[in-house]
Amino acid sequence: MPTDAGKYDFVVDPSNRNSTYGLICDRVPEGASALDVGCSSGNLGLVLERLRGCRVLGVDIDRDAVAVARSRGIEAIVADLTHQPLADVVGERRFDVIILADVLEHLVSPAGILAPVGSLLKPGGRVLCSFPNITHLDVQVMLAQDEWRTQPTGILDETHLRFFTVASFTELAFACGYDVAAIDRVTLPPLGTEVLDYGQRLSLGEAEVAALAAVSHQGNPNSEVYQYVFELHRAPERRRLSEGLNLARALPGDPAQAERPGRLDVVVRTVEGRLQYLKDALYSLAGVTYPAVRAIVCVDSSSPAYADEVRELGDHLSGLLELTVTVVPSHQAQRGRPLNWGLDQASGEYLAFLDDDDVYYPAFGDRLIGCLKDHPQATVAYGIGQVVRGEATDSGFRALSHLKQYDEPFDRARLFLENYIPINTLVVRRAAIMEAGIRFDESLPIYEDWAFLRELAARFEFKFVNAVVSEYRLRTDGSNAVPEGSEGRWERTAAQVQHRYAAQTVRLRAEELATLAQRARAPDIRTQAALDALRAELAGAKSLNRQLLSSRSWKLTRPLRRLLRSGLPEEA
Amino acid sequence: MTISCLCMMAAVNAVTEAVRPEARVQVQVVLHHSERWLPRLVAGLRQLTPVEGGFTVAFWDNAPGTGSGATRPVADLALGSSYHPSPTGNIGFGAAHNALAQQAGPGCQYLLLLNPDAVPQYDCLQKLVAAAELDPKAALIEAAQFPIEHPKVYDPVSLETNWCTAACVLVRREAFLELGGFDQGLFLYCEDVDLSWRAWLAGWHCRYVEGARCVHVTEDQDLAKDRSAEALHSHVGHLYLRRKYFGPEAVAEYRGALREHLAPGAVEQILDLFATLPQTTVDRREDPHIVLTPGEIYADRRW
Repeated sequence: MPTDAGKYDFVVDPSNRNSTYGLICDRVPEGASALDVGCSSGNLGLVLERLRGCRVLGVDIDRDAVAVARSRGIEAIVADLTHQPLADVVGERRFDVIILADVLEHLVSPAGILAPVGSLLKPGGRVLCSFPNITHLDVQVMLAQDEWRTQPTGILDETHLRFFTVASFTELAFACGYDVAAIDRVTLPPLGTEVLDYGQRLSLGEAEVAALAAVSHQGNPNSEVYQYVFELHRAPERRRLSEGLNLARALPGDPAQAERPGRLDVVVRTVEGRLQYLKDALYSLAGVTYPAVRAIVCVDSSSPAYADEVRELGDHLSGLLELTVTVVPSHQAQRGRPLNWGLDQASGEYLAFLDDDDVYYPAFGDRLIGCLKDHPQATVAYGIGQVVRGEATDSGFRALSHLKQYDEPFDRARLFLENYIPINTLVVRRAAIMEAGIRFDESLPIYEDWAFLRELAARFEFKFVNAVVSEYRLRTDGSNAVPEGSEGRWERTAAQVQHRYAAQTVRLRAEELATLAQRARAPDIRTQAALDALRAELAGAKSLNRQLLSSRSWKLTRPLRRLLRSGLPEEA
Repeated sequence: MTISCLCMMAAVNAVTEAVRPEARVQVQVVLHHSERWLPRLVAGLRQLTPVEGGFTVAFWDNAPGTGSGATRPVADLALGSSYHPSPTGNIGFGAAHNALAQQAGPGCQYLLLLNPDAVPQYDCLQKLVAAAELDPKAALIEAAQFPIEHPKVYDPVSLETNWCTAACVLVRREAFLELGGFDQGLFLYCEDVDLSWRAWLAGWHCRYVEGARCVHVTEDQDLAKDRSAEALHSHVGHLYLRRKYFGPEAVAEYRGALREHLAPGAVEQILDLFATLPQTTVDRREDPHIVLTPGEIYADRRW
C-alpha cells in the first residue's frame, strides 16, 4: 500500500472519461456509501461527496495523508491492512461501493484484501478496482530494448509487487468470489506513458516501434490500455472461470443495464469531421421505438477535440438516448477496430452496428428484434437497406433521390460470393457471437463487415425481414464512395477475404456448395482474381470435405464434430 | 445541498427561463392517448436551443381521463407548461390546434405545431425561426421529417413548397388567425394541406427548411398502432379537399378509385362520414401550388 505522503495525490477530474478517477466516479451511484481503501489525502472522496452526494470513509496506512483528508472533512482512518483485517477497521458498517484504486498491485497478497471486502458490501453493492496494464506497448518496447526500469509512479511503479493483465485480474476476481460486471479502460498511445522516461534514448526507430505495435496488436488488443477499472459484484452463484474470461474479453458494460433484458446496443463508429452526419445518426437512434436502446459511440483517439465535440452532441441528446462515448486508439486505418471496441463495451442482449453517416428507421428495433423473438433458432435478423443519394450540406446530408434497395432474401452461398447485406441492416444476438468468439478482422482495410457476416453465416441462422429498416447514405461528392482508381484494392481485399475464410465453406450444405460452384462458373464474376480465389476456395472445401468424411484423425475431424454438435447445417 | 442538486436546479431554471408565459413562440401539442410518447417529447423540448423571446408549451388533450390524463403531471412538472383537457371529448386535430392558438399570449408571434410522436432536433426551432425572420410573408415554415423525409418536392433555393405538414411546422400566428386557423370540417389529416393552400391564395408563403429536422415516427413505423381509424379519416380528407378545391368530378374520380381498391363496407363507411361534412368550396384560381398528384401527396415527388 502506498506510503509516500503526497505521492499518490492525483488530481481527480470526474469529467475526464479517459482517466482512472473519472471512470471510477462514473461507476459510483449518487448518494452511495463508499469505502475508499488507500484514500491518501482524500481527493477522490472529496469529489464523490461533493459531486455525487456520497458518504465516504477513507482508510490509508499513511498517517499524514489521513490527517490531510480529515482536515478536508473526509472521515478517514489510519490502518495497515496487511496486519489488521479491514472488517475490524470498519466495524459493523457496510457499503454500497468499495474502492480499491491502484491498491492491489502494491500488496504481497492481493487476494488477502480483495476476497474479504466482499463481506463488507451491502446487498447489490460493488467493488471498484483499478490497476495498470502490464501489457501496454511501452513495456514491450522497453523489453525489446533489453531494459527493465521502474519509475516513481505509473505502470512500473517501484513499489509494485504484482502485475496484472485483463485475464489474470479476472482470474483473481473469480478466485476471490466475484463476477466481473464491467471493465473500463484508460488508454494512452504508444510512447505516451512514463514507462520509457528513464533518461535514455530509444534504440528503436519509429518504424520499428510501429512494426512492433502492429505485431503486438495481432495478439493483444489491449496494448494501448494504460489502466483498467473493474467493477466486481459478489457472485452468489459462481460461474465457471471460463465464462469469466469470456466476460473479460467481452468487456460488459453497466451491470444494471445488463440485467435489463432485451437491450439493443448499437455500436456507432465515427471519425473526425463527420459530426454533422453523426448528429443525424444519433437522432435516428433516439427515434427508434424499441424501448431499450443504447448507443456506444467509438471515436478515434487521434482527435481528442472531436471526442469532446461528440460528448457535447451527446449532451443535446440527454434524456432521449442512452449514450456512451469511448475513445478508440487510432482506428482510421483499421475499420474493424472500433467495431470490436464497441463490441467489447456492449452488454445488451442484442447488438447492431451503425456508421456515423447512416441512419436507422424508427421501427428498426421492433421489426428485427421482433423477428428474432418470433424465430428463437435465428441469431441474426436483417431488413432492407435503402440507398439514398444526397449532397453534403452545413446541416449534414440533403437527400436528392432514392436509389436501389438492398432487399435480397438470405442466401448463404451468395453471401460467400459477395457482400450483399449492409452491416447497418441487422441485429444479432450478442451472447451467441461472444460465445463463438466472432470478431471483426482488424487486419482488413475494407470488407471487415463482409468477413464478419461470413463468420456469422457459417455458424448461425439468418432471417430476412421484408421492410426497410435503415438508410445507406451516399454523398454526391464521393466522400463515402469507392474512390476512382481504388477498384483494384477492393478486388484484392475481396480475394483476400475469400482465401482467408475458405474454411467457412465446409459449413455450407451440399446444395449451397453446388450453387457456389455454379456461380463460380457464371460470367458475372468480375475479375480473374475473384474467380481464382473462388475456385481455390471450392477446391479447398471439396478436399477438406473429402478428408473430413474419410478420416479417422481426431484432429482432422474436429471441425466435423463441432459441426455435428452445433446441429447446423444438416448436410455438411 | 450537493453540487449535483445545484446543477439540476440550474437546468430547471434554464428551462423556466426559456418557457415564459409571454413567450414569442408557443409550442403546441395535441394529445390523444399519447402517454407513451410524452417522456421522449418532453426530453426533446428540454433540449431545444432557446430562441429570442423564449417559448412556452401548451398541450391539448383530446382524450382526457382515458389514460392520457396521467400525462398532465408529466407535462406540468417537466416544462411548467399549460395543459388543456378537452371539455367535449375528441374535437379533432385542427380544432384542438385552433383552440390552443386562441389562448396564446399577446406577445406570441409564432406557433410551433408539433406532433406528440415527434422530437425536434435541438436546433430545429432556432432554424425555423431564423427562416421565418428572413421572409415576413412566410406563414408556414416546415421542418424536415426525419429520418423518413416526406418525398414532396421543394425549391432548394427559395425553399418554397406547395404545402407544409403539421407534424412539425412553425406558423406565423398573425397569418394563422387571419386565415381562421385550420378548417374544422377536417377531423384528422389533410387540414395542413388545406391551410397551406389557403395561405398561398391569401398571398402568404409556405417554406420547407430541410436543415431543421424533427424525428417523427411516421406511418408504418409505429408497429403498435392500429391505423384503421386514421385510414378512414385520411380518405375522407382527400375527398373533402377534392370537393373544396377541384369540384365534383375530382370527387367522383376518387370515389371510383376507392370502390376499385376497398371492400364495399369500407367505402360505404368513408362516404357516409364524408356526407356529414360541410360542403365548403374555394376558388383555387389556378394557383400552381394547388395540384392533385398520384398518391395524394399534392406535389411532385422527389423519389
